Amino acid sequence: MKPVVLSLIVLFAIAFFLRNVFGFLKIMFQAKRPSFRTDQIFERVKGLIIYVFGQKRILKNYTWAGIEHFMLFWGFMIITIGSTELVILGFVPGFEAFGFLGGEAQEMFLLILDIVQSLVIVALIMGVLNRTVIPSGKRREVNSIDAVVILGMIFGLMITDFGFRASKIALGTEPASWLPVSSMWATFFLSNVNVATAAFSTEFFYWIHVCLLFAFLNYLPYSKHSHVLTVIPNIFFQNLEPRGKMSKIDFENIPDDFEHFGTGKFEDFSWKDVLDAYTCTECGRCTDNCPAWGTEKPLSPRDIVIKLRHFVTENNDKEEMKTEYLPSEGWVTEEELYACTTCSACVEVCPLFIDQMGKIVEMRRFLTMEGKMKGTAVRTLQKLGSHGNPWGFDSKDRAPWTKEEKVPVLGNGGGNTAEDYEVVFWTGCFGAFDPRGQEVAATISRLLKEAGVKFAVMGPNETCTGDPARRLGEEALFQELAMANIETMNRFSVKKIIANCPHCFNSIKNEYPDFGSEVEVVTHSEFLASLVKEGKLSPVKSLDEEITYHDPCYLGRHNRVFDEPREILSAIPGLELKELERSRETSFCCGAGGGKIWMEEEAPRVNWNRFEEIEASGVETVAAACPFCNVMFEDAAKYVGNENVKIKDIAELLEDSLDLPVKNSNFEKLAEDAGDKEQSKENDDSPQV
Amino acid sequence: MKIVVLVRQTPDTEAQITANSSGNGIDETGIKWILNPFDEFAVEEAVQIKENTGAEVIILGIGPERALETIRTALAMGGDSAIHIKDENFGDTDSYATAKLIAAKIKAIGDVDLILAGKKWIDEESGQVPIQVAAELNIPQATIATKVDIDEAAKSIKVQSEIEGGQRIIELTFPALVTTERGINEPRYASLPGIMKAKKKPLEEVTVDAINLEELGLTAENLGVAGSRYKVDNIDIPVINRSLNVLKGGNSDMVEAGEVQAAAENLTKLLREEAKII
Ligand code: SF4
Ligand code: SF4
Ligand code: SF4
Repeated sequence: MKPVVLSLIVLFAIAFFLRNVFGFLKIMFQAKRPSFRTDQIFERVKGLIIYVFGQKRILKNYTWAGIEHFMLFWGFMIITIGSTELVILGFVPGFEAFGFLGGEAQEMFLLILDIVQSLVIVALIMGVLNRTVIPSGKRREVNSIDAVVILGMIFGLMITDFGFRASKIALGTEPASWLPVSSMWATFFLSNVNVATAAFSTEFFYWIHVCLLFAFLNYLPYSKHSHVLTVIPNIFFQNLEPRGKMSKIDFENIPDDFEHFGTGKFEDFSWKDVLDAYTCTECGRCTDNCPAWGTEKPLSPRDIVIKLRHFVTENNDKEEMKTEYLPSEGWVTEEELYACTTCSACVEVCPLFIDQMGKIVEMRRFLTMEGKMKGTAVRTLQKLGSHGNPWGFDSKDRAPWTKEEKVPVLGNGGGNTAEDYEVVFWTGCFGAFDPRGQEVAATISRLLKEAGVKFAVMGPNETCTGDPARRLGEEALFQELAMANIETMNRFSVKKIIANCPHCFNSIKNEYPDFGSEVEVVTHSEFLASLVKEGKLSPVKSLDEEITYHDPCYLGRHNRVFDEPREILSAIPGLELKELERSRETSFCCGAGGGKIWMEEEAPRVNWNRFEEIEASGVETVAAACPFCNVMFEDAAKYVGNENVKIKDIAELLEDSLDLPVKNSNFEKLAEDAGDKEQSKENDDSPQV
Repeated sequence: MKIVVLVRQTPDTEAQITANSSGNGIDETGIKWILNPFDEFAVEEAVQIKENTGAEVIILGIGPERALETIRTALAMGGDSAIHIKDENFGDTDSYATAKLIAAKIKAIGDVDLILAGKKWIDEESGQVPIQVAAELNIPQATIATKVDIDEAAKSIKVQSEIEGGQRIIELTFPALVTTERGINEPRYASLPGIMKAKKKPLEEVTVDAINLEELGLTAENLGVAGSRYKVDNIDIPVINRSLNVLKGGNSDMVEAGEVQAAAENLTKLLREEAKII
């Protein structure tokens, strides 16, 4: 009888489960944007080992919840073996999962199971505390009913297994000495029961456990805990491309029935986006770390992901799946989508490797290319289109400091081929036009000279890399600018570039190859750090300052350059580097990325938030390695009226520490000095009269 | 409801203007052309009205071949169809003849309820054409609008403008003409793919030859530079001598009230004696 009933339950549960799986696959493949995720198998398997079995991200920065989850995860892995054993036991009486190993293997397993189950109960209690008494201080609410059901079911599974084992101890069919916790149960509840009662209680707990198990399996897909089923594929199929790389839209082969570019409808997402949506546990870590949400903007990356899931729940099998737009008032608003700085803090922190940012920029593309973008950035894009820089300056006025600094300009007195030079210094639009950016760029050029590096710039021949256009969603403009630059670089046979703007660097390094570029690019942090290491630049003057370093998102998180800027700073004598609380991978954006520097931002602003942190650290100087960050901090400093914190590029600090005869950031003075120097040199060289 | 928006192509706001060789016009080489920023407000307003009421938006541009780019930009912002009155020399036709040509075309479209245009062109700094169009059509007009309110049922529009010391509100019944001022809205971005898509929208190209000038009381001589009722003799580009004079005061290291006051006095003196503006 028992095998028959059990068979029915198992068959029913599996059939129902498969129905869910197929239903899900059907939904998943209604999302049609292609996404290839089957390369680099080794890396993918490695990801599974570290992040699923090692639980690395879960543990990071969230100790309490991390330990809780670690216990639950491993507890579950072991308990699943126990539960499977239990089901098989219904068909094969006396079945032992590890019996085949002989010796005391099965007893060892029982001991482990007994302890692990107790730990899972501890973890559950921790989970309850985490959701109730431990204040998170975060501006987000938790879907608690789902959590209660799931945690309740897990609790039920533990209790019934203990009940089952305890009953068998009472019956004398399970070794009490190997089951310390279950024995306690047995002594506590079943000490004086007769055999019939114990037999009944064995069966009772057995059936509840089995039913609960299958109920759990089939409730999961409907809950926010479906990650239990999807996490392995989701991490396996993670995005291994550089994170700062956006997908290329093919404007050459536009299908006839094309409606729009970017992600507007459900079908414009990729299957991986849907898998992401069904993997999100709503833990809220992404939102906790989001600079937009942290400064009271309407954007919560978690909600972007959840909304995609809710969209399916609401519209599955309806016409709306095909017709409704997700970027719309009812689902994801324009305010949300344009609030993202593309800092990738959300992507960095998500334990399940969900790509929130990718979904945001894809939907933003839709909005911008459908002509929905308004405000100050409209002018920026127009000027990028007409002048190749965000302000609409005349490109012949690019990088005027090259005259004073006597830097050769390719195609403009500096020859027509980069082959005569070791590297080309990419100044970017800030180095070309922004007063502060120009100072930094001039400093870098002096450092390169000092180190004896033969280099040139492209001056008027350079245009914006297109980064702001691409992040703001204007893909066609980005491609225009990118192609123009690639064409110029080919014309001058440019092979290697140094860029001090991480945004330019990111585009040239990660995005230009899609358009045929083969140029090698390094950041100024990396290049200068290697010059210091090789002894070509020797910081000898002590600066005697307390300093902190801000990790620019496009340098750090996006391109993993964390150490080199710090190496430069620590090579400078007297500098005492104090790390900010939010640093390296968890650095907090300055608010400029994603084209946000060109948009008006409501108060409180992201840069104020970051600057307050810098102020509070008590340092005298903040070093940055990104012209955008510099501008944002200077802006914030003005706003809060703080003139005490100096905002400097790492290159400027390095120059301060060199023992140079002439050093000044003031061009005129510098030119004068340079003139003097030349004169005196002339005098020196002239024959003595 | 049918709305016509008048658009003009002007040099980019950042363009470095130089005089041409004969000295009576600007040198067009290397100039980037844009949709007149004030017309951008007019297009945006029309598109917003369309979004709210389902009105039809017709873009009407006048100018040489290159002006087509501007017309497409307006279409990408949301216009439904466009008319391009083409004449290579059109830039130099005076506002009187221009207004007559436009008015004739609007009459030919028929049943136009509302005409929107920017309050002025940023190239010639002239705000003549729209108001002359209204006069030509003999319809009411309100200029420099910072806010409009449409009453579809009553077929009327309330136009608010900033005037010295207050607001002026004028109510007009259709058909009417309104010119737009900065602040009325935030124009949207016409993306490159949007402009590309706009190529599919209906575009009517009218050459000046196809217009019966006689009917308008004009002759071919009235068009272009030769026919203009005003002549440009000479264009001078002002030389700007920028100099910066920082008057210290109010700095955190100079918090003394006296110093701030001294700086302020110094400033007043300079403004009065050197700049002679107060
Ligand atoms: S996207 Fe990731 S980090 Fe954000 S709530 Fe979902 S699971 Fe958590
Ligand atoms: S990329 Fe940054 S700003 Fe955008 S949603 Fe993620 S955390 Fe927020
Ligand atoms: S400007 Fe700097 S901190 Fe801000 S987004 Fe860019 S790289 Fe990040």
